[in-house]
Amino acid sequence: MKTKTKLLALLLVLVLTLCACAPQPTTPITLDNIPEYDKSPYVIINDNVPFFEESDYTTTSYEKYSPLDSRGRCGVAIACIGKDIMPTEEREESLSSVTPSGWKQENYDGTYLYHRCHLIGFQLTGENANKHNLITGTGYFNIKGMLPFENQVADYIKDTGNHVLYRVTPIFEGNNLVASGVLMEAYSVEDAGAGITFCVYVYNVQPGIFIHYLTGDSSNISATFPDEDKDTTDGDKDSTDTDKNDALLNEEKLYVINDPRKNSIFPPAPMRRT
Amino acid sequence: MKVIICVDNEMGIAFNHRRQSRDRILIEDVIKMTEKALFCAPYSKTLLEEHPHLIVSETPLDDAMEENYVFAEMLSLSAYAEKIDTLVLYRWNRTYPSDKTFDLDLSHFTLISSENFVGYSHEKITKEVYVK
Repeated sequence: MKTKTKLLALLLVLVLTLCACAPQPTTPITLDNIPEYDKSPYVIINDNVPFFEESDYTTTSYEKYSPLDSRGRCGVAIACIGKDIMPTEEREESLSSVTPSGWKQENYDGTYLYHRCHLIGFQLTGENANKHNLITGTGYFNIKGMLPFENQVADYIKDTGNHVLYRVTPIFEGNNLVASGVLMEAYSVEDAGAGITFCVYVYNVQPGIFIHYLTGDSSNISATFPDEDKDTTDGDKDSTDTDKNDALLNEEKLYVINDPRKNSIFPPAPMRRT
Repeated sequence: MKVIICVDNEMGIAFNHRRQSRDRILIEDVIKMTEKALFCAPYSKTLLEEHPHLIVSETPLDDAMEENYVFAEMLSLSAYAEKIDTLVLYRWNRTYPSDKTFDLDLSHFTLISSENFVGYSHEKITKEVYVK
């Protein structure tokens, strides 16, 4: 009996310790106060001022990831990124060993819809096949939405040697397995935000593709709604090369898709041509 | 007037009132090219503080004379299109967030040189020089 009690106490301590280590979701943002997707892959939130608290600022590098929830979904990831935790070698390990929530890969016109998207990009912390840092996201979301911000932070740190406080919060509506988007916040510590300050919401959408966020299922909008014209899509399968990704950013888009803030149960919001 | 500016892959120049990027090798190149005098706005002063003849002004594009260089990061240029006879364009060859873009029509200029170099924090920076 004593052994059982000791084991229970040990388990309780372990759970409490894990909870204390996990980054807490302090972002006061819900889908209700995020505007509808309107052609831009991201939208500025809170006048671009991140929601960090004074106690968050440090010049000691670290990274923290949340445990998966009961549906296997990622939570907030936070890091104070300095040169000392940035990768020094190219990424080699495949991400295919990780299956993020809502991962139902489809190929549209030769292009894979989904990427395994890092919450904190590999170029920032070198964290690769970590299931606590990977969500299901579209190529558009990954390349057009998140990557430019990661590039800006990475290049700033490399040039200055300063630290950037960086937080990415995936936002899931209800029981959805695919995130509607992520809130990205960053603040350069040593120069009090003079170099880097942003607070943006990035939409997890793909022009021309309807996504069922509850399950990860998807369909071509022209197939789902035959009256609509054929779409063009972009994105890339599990891209690892940021230069290649940069090139993809120049592609044109034809559609605005359904509103990912809603639960994505049919029928979707009306589409508009861009 | 000779204008120097940096752009990303989408011709962006700034986001949230901040430069998109910086690179100390690029700055060394700017200082070397503009030894005699360089005008800039107060925002750029800390980046160029090692320049021996830096002239900081709230209105550098107004104050610079024909033979002068202006480091015009984050500045709108369209109103000065007639005055600009040389443009030095540094391309980051990266994509960054942007809410302000380069606003001169390059078709009014002729590209006379283009070279790539490795930056301190950028794998490849392209330097292009245009003249009217």
